[in-house]
Amino acid sequence: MDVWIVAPETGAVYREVGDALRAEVERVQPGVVRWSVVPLQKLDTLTESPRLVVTVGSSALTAVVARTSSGTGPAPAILATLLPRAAFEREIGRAAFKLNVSAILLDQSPARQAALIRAALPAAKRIGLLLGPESRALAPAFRQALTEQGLSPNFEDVTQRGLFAALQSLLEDNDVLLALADPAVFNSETVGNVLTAGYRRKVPLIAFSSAYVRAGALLGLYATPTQIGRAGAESVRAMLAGAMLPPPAVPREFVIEVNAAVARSLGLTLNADDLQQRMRSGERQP
Amino acid sequence: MHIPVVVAGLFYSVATIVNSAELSERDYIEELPTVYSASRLPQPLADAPASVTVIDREMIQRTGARSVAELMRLVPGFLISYFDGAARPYATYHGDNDAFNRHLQVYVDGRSVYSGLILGSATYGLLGVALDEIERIEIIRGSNSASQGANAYLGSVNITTRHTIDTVGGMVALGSGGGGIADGSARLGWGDERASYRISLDNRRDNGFSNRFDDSDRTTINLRADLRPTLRDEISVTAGSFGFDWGTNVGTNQPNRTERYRSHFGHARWRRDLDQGAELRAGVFADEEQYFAFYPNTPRADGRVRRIGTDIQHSFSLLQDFRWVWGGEYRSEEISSLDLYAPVPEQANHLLRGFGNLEWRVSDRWLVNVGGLWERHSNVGDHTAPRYAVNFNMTPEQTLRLATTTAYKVPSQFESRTTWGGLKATGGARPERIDSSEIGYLGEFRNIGMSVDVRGFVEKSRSFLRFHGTDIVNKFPYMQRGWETQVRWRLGAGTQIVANHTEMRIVVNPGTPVGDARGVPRHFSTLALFQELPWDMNLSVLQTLVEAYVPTGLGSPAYRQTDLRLAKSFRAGGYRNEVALNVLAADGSHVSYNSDPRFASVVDRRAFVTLKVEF
Repeated sequence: MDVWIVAPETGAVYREVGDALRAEVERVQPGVVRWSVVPLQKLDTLTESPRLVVTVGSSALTAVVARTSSGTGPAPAILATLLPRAAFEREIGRAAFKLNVSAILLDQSPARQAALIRAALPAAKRIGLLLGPESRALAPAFRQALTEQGLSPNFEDVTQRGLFAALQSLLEDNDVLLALADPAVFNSETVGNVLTAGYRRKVPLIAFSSAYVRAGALLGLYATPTQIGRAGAESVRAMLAGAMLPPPAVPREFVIEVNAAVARSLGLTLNADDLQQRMRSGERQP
Repeated sequence: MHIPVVVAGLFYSVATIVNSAELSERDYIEELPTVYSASRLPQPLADAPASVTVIDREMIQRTGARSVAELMRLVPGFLISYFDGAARPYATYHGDNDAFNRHLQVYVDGRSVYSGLILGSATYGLLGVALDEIERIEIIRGSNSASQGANAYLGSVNITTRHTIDTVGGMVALGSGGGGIADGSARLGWGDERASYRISLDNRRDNGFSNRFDDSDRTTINLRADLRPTLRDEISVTAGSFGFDWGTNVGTNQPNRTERYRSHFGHARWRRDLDQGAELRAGVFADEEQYFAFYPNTPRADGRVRRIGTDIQHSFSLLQDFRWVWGGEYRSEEISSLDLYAPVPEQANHLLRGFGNLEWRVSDRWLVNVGGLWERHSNVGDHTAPRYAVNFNMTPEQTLRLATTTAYKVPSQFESRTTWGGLKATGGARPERIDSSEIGYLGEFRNIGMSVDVRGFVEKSRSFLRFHGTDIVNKFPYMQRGWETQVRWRLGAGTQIVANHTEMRIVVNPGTPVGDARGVPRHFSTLALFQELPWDMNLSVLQTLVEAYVPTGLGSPAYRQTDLRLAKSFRAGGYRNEVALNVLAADGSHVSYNSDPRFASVVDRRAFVTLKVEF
C-alpha cells in the first residue's frame, strides 16, 4: 500500500510525528507499506495518487484537501495528525467532496482534564476557564466533565469585557485556571501577563502543551509527537486490515508535565510520574 | 476537470497564509517566553532569610481598615498608638513609641516613602498609601538593612500596589458614619497586554477622637502605567500626590490648629528578563514633601525635602544551587528649612549604596543566605550591614531558621545639623546600630490549613541617638529580647483565624533612663476571626489586647479593642458590589495614650457604613 506523509519542513515536531508513525507501523507489520515522505512545498510537483495520505499539521491538511479537490482519479484516504479538532473540522468543512478522513487530534478530553485536576489538586473546587471565539463551543462539554468530578466550573468570555477584565474576574473567585487553546486568549503576547496575574493571586494555570509548562504553567497535559505518531500508526494498521479509518480521536497515551519551581512556590509537591500512573489506571477502569 | 479559480487561489497561497485568529497546532507548539522566575514567583516562606508576615488584599478588605497603620495590628510585634491623636496613628515595631516612627523603613513598589524631615518618620508615607491600590504588604519583622538599607533598623514594610492589568475596569467606594467619617474613592483602569493604565483618587476624612482636636483630611491621587514593549521588558511608571491636613493641640495654652503635609512623587521602573532566569532591574524616582505650620508656637518646623534617586539590581543563578542578587543605589536629598537650619536653610546630603545577597541551596533541606549592604553617606561616612541566615527544613512542613544581622539608622539631616529651638547639632551624630539575632520556626501544615510562625529575638542597640544638652549624640545602649508568634488557620467552611502574640522585655544598662524599660508593653496580642456566612455575607472580628506601657508622659494603660465588620456582597446589573457595616472599639472606648490627662487620646466607639461598586 502506498502511503504518503505530508509535513512542513519547518519544525522538528512535524518530523518526529511522521517518523514515529512510520517506525510503529514498520515494527508491527514491516514491509507492507511503501512510504513517501513528502515535504509540503513539494506536494504540487507530484502527480501520483496514493491510497492514504497522512498529514502532519493543519497547513499540510489544507494543501492535501485542496489538491484532492482539484485533482483527478480516486481520492486518497486522509489521516490528519497534529492538529486541534477545530482546525480539522474547519478544513474538512471546506472540502467540496466526500472524503474518507480521520484525525489524531491534539485536544485532550474534558474528562481527562477534570481527572487531572482532581488527582493533582484535590483541594481545588472552583475552576476558572477563559473562553474565546475558538474555544467557546467547548464550554458545555467542560461544564459536564468538571461537574461530574465534583468541581465547580466558572466561565468568562473574553470578547465581552476584554481578556484582562475576564481574567481578573476569574482569578478573584477560582482556585485553578484551566486553559483552553484559543489564539485570542493564550498566545506569546498574553502568556506573560496571564501567568504573572495568576502568580499574584496564587491561582495556578493548567495548560495544554509543554511550551506553557516551560513558560510557567503549573501542569501540562498533552500527547508527545511520538505518542501522536503511534496513535496514527494504529489507524494506518486499521486500514491495512481492510477497514475504513477509525473516527477522529485523541491519542490514548498522554504525558503530564510539572513545573517544579512553580509547584514549589505554591507549596505543592507534585510528581509527574505518579500523577500519570494514577490517571492511567483511572482510565483503564470501566 | 476545470480548476475553480477560488480553489486554485487557495492552493497557491496556502503556504503563506498564517491566520493567527484561527486555532491550529501552532497554538500548541509555538515557543513561548519563560515567564516564571525566582523573583516573579511568590517566594516560599520557608526559604525566606527573615520572619515575614504577608497581608493580602482580601485581608485588607475584611478588616475594614482606613489606613495602612491600622492593618499592622495583624502583624506580631507591631503596636498602634494614637499618641498625637487619631489623625496620625503610629505603627511601630518593637517599641520606638514616640512622635517619630523612624526605625522602620517603608517601601511602595520599591520606592522609599520614609519622610526625611526632622528625625525621620514612616508615618506620613504610610498614611499616603491608598488602601484600594494595595495588592499585598510584606512585612519583614526584624532588621533588614542588609537588603533594604539604613532605616530598616527594626523592620521594613514593603507595599506592592496592584498591577494595572488586574484593575481594568472601574471602582467607586463610599464610606460614612460616626466620628465624622466621610470617605470616597474611585478608580479607572484600561488597557491590554501591551500597555495598561490606571488613575485613582482617594479621600478620607474624620473628626478623630471626641475629646481631642485631631480631625484629619487625606487625599491621594495616583497614576500608574505598565508597558510591555517587548516580550522581555516591562516598564512601570507611577506618579502621585498626597495631601494631608490634620488638627493638633499639644498643651494647655495652645490653641487648636491645623498642620499640613503635601508630597508628590514620580517613579519609573524597568525590568528585563535575561537568559536562564536572570533579570535586570533599574529605577529612578523624584519626590518632594513639604510640612506647613508644623509645630508652630513651640518653634516652628516647616520645611521642604526634595529627593532624587536611581537604583539598579541584577539577579542570576551562577550554578544550579546558587542565586545571586546584587545592585546599587544613589540618592540625593535637598532640604530647605529656615525653621530647622537657620542661618543655613539649604542643606543637602547624598548616599551611595551597594548590596549583595547569595542564596545557596546546600541540599534539599539546607538553605544558606549570606548578604550585606555597604553605604557611604555624605554626613557620616561608610558603614556595612551584613546578614547571615540558615534555613533548615526539618520536615517538608517545618523549617527552622537562624539569622543574625547588623542594621543601621543613619542620622537624619536634623540630627546632624539642626539649629532648631535651643539645639545646635555639632554633626557628631553617628549611625545608630542594632545587632539582632533570631531563631525562627515556621510550620506549614497544609492538610489542616494551618501555619505557625514563631520568632525568638535578641536585639542589641548601641549608639541610640538622644538629645544631650544642646547636641544630639549617641548614647544609651540597650537590649530588647522576646518572642513573637503568628498563627493562621483556615478551618473548613469559610473560617479563618489569625492570632498573634508578642512578649518582650527591654533590658537597660546602668546609665539608661529607667523609664526606657517600660517603653514597650511586656505582652500584647491580636486575635482575628474571618467568617463567611450564608447569603454572601462575611463577618470579621478583631480583638487587640495590650498591656500597660509608658513610652513617655503618663503612658498608655492596658486596653482591649474589639472591631467588627459585617459585609454583604451582591451583584447588581453585572457589577460586583459590597456593602459593609464597621464598628470600631465595639466593646467600648479605651484610652490609647495619656500625654496630658486633658488631652488623652480616647479611642471612641464609632460605626460607619461602606459601599463599594466594581465594574
